[in-house]
Amino acid sequence: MALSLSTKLGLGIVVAGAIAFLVLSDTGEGVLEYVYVEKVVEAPERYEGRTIKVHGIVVKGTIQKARGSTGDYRFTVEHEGKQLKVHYTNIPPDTFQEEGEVILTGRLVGDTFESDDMSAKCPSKYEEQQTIDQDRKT
Amino acid sequence: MALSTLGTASVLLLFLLAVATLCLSAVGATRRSERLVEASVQGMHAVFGVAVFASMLLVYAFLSADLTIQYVQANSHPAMPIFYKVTAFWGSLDGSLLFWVLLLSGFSSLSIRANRVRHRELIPHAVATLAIILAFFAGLLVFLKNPFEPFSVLAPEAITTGKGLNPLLQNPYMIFHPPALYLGMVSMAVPYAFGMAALVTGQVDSRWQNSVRRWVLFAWLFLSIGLILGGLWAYEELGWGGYWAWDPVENAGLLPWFTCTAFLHSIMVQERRGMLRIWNILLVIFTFFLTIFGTFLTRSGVVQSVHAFGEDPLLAWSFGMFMIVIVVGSGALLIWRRPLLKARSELESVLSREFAFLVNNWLFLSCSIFVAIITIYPTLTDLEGFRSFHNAYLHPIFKLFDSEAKELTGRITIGPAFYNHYMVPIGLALMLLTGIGPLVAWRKTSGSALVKQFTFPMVMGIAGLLLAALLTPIVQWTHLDSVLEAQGLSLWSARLQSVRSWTGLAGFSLCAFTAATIAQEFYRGVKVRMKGGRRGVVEAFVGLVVKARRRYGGYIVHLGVVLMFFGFAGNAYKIERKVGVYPGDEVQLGEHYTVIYEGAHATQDWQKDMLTVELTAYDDDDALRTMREEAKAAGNEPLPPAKRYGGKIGTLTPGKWWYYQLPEQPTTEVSRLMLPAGDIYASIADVDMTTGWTRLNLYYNPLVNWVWIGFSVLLIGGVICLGTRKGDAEGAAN
Repeated sequence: MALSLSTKLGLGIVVAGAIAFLVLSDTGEGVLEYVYVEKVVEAPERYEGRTIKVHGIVVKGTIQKARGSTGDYRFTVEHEGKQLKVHYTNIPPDTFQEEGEVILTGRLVGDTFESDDMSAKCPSKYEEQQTIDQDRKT
Repeated sequence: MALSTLGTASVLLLFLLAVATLCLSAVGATRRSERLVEASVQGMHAVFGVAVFASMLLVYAFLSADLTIQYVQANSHPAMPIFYKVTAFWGSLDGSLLFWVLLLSGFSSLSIRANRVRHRELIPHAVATLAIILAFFAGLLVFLKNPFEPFSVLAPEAITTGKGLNPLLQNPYMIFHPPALYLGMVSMAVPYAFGMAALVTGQVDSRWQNSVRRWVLFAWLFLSIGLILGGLWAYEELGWGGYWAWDPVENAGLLPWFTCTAFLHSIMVQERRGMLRIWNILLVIFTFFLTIFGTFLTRSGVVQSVHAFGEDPLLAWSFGMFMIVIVVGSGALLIWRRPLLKARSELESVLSREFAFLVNNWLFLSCSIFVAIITIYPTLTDLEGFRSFHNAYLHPIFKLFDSEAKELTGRITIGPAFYNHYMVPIGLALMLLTGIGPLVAWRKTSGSALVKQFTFPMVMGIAGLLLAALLTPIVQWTHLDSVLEAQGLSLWSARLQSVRSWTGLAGFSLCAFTAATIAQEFYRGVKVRMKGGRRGVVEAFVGLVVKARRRYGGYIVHLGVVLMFFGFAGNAYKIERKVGVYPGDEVQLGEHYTVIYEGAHATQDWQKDMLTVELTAYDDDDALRTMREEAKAAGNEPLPPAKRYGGKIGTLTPGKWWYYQLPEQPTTEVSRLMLPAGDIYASIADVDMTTGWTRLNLYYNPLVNWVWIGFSVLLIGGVICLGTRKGDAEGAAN
C-alpha cells in the first residue's frame, strides 16, 4: 500500500512551506557585488552607498599607516589604469603589501572607498595559499 | 639518465599502461575472453607498480634536491624539515595529480583483487571504468602537468635554491589533511566502477553493493578526517577564530561527503526493503561526479579561494569534458537499465524507518545541490551570457520573493552568512532525524510503540531546551530587547527574531533528544543481553557492539555527531573583540574574562624572526568590573587591576613569524587557552615595537572543543562499522 494522496499533499505542503520560510527570511546577507577598480571609477554613481567588493592592485608608495590605537590605513588601488583611494579601518591580512592584489569589502563615500574588510593575494608566484581570507566568518 | 627524463618516461608508461588495460578489459568483456580479462587485471596491478615507481622518483628528487626539475625547484627549500620535503610531493598541483594517480591505482588494484573471485562477471567492466579514470589523470600528467618537467634551457648557474613549501602549510595537520581528503575522494571511484559494472552486466541486485559498502564507508571516514583536519588547521593557523567558512574548496570536500552519507543510510533501505534501487546507484554516480567536480574546483582556478592552485583554462576544459563524459555515460547506462531497477516494495507509512531514511536522503542531497550551486554561482556571474540568462529568467523569480532583488550587472560574491542561513536549519533538521530514525520501526510504527519509544527522548529534549535557555548567555536577548522595544516590538517577537540564539537553543535541545535516543537504544540492547546470558553490564555492552557492529557502530557515529553539534551550537554564543592596545591595557571578553596585555618581545631562530605578545587571561565578572568603573568614576587612580580580584587562568602568547625564505609573507601564530567551557583564542594583526601598541584579535569560542571530541567519537564508531563481518547486514537493518 502506497502513501495516500492526502499524506502526499501534506508532505508537499510541509516541504514547500519550509523552502518558502527559508527563502523569505533570507535577507541577502553575505551576497555582494564584486567589481574591479575601473568599473567603480567609471560609474561611481551606480555603486555609491552600497556595500560591494572591489578588486585591484595596491599602488606602490601609497600606503600610509596611522600609528596608535586608531590604527588605520590609507592607500590607492589600481586596475586597468584607473585608480581609487581607499580608507581601510581594520586589521589587514598578513599578505597585504605594495603591488599586491587586494579584494576590499566596503562602500564608496565620495571619491574614497571606505573598507573594513580585505583579502590579499601575495604577489610572489606562490601557487597554493595565495589569499588569506579575512572575511571568513560573519 | 637524468632524473627528469626517467620520471617523464615513467609517467608516459603509466598513461600507456592505463590505456592498454582499458583496451584489454573492453575487448576481453565483449569477447568473453578469460585470458584477456586476466591480462587486464594484471595490467591494473602494473599501473599501480609504475605509479609507485614514479612517486618514489619524485620523493627522491625532493630529498636529493634535484633543482633541474621545475616542480622540485618551486616547492623545495634546503631549510625545510625532511618531513615536509616528503609531503611537498603532493603540496602543489602537478605532484598532487601524481599522488591522485598513485592512490587511485592502488585502490583499483586492491578492489579488483578482493572481488576477483566473488564477482567475476563484474571485474572486466570495473577494470575498464577504473582504467578510463586512470587514463584521464595519467593523461593530465603526460600532456599538461608533468611533475618531472625539467627547465627548458639548462643553465645550472641560473637555477637558484627552491622556494619551499609555504610556511603556513608547514603544520602537522597539513601533513595528514590533504592525503586524508585525497584518500576519501579517490576511493569513491571504486564504488562507482562497480556500480557501472553492475549496470553494464545487468546484475543490479544488492551484491555489487555488498562489495562496495565498505569502500564507501572507508571513503566516508577519510573524507571526514580530511575535512576535520582542514578545520583544525584553519582554526590553529589562520587566526580568524573559526574552523569553517564555506570556502569553495572546503565545499569541494563537503559535497561528496553529503551524498556519501546519504548513500550509507539509503543502502540500508535497499537491503531491508528492496526500495530506492535507482536512487542508490544515482547516489554513487553523483558522489563520484562530485569528487571530480571538487578536484576541478580546486585545480582549475575557476573559483577564487584560499586553496586555489592558480588559473589554468586548459585544465579546466579537460575536467569539464571528463565531467560531461561521466554524466552522459552513467546517465545513459542508468536509463538503459531502469527496468531492472524497479522497487520491490512501496512506502507504507510516514511513521516508518524507511521514510526517515528517505527524508534524510532528500536533505543531504539538497545540501549538496545547494552548496554546489552556490559555490559555482559567483563564477557563473562573471560570464556575460549567464548574466543575461539570470536577468531574463531567474531574476523575475527572485523578484517574487524579494521586491528589491537587483539585476546582475557584474560578478557577485557569496559569503558564509548566506550559506549559514540555509544550512543551519537543514543541519538542525538532520539532527532531529538522527534522533527520530532509530525510534520508528520499518514499514510502520503503531501508536503504542510511538509512545513507548518517544517518551524518554522527548522529555530529555524538552529538559535540554529548558536547561539551555537557563544556562546560555542572554546577552543577545537583553540587548535585543532594548533595541526592539525602542522600535515598539514586543518581547516575544524580539526573541523570535534573535535567530542566533534560536538556532543555539534548538541545537542544544535536539542534541539532548538525539543523545537520549541513542542512550535508550543502548540501554535496551544491554538489558536484553544481560537477561539473556546473565552477563555483567560491561560484558553485555561489548557483546552488543561486537554482535551488531553496523548498528551500534552507527549509533556511536551518531553520538559523535551529537557532540559535534553541541560544539556547533556553542558557535551561536561566540564573542569576538578586535582592539588596539598598549602594554598594561585590559580587554573584556564576554561576561567572565578579562585579558591583560603584558608586553611584546622579539626573538629569532635559524628559520625565522619571531614576534611574540604576552597576554594574561583572568577570571572576571561584571561585579568586579563595576568596582573598577566606580573607582574610575570616583577618580581613584590608579585603578585596581583585574588580577587583584579574579583568578589568573593562564597566559596567551600569540605571535607573528617571518620566515627567512619568505620574509614578505609573515605567518600568524595563534595562541589559545583550552577551558572546559570553551577556548580563549588570540591572534595579533599588527605590532608597533617602539610603543608596544598591538592590534589584537580576541575570541571566546564556547564549547568549540566538543567539535574535536565529537569527531573522535565519530571516528571510533566509524572504525567499528568498518570492521563488519559477513552476515552482519541483518543486525544493521534491525
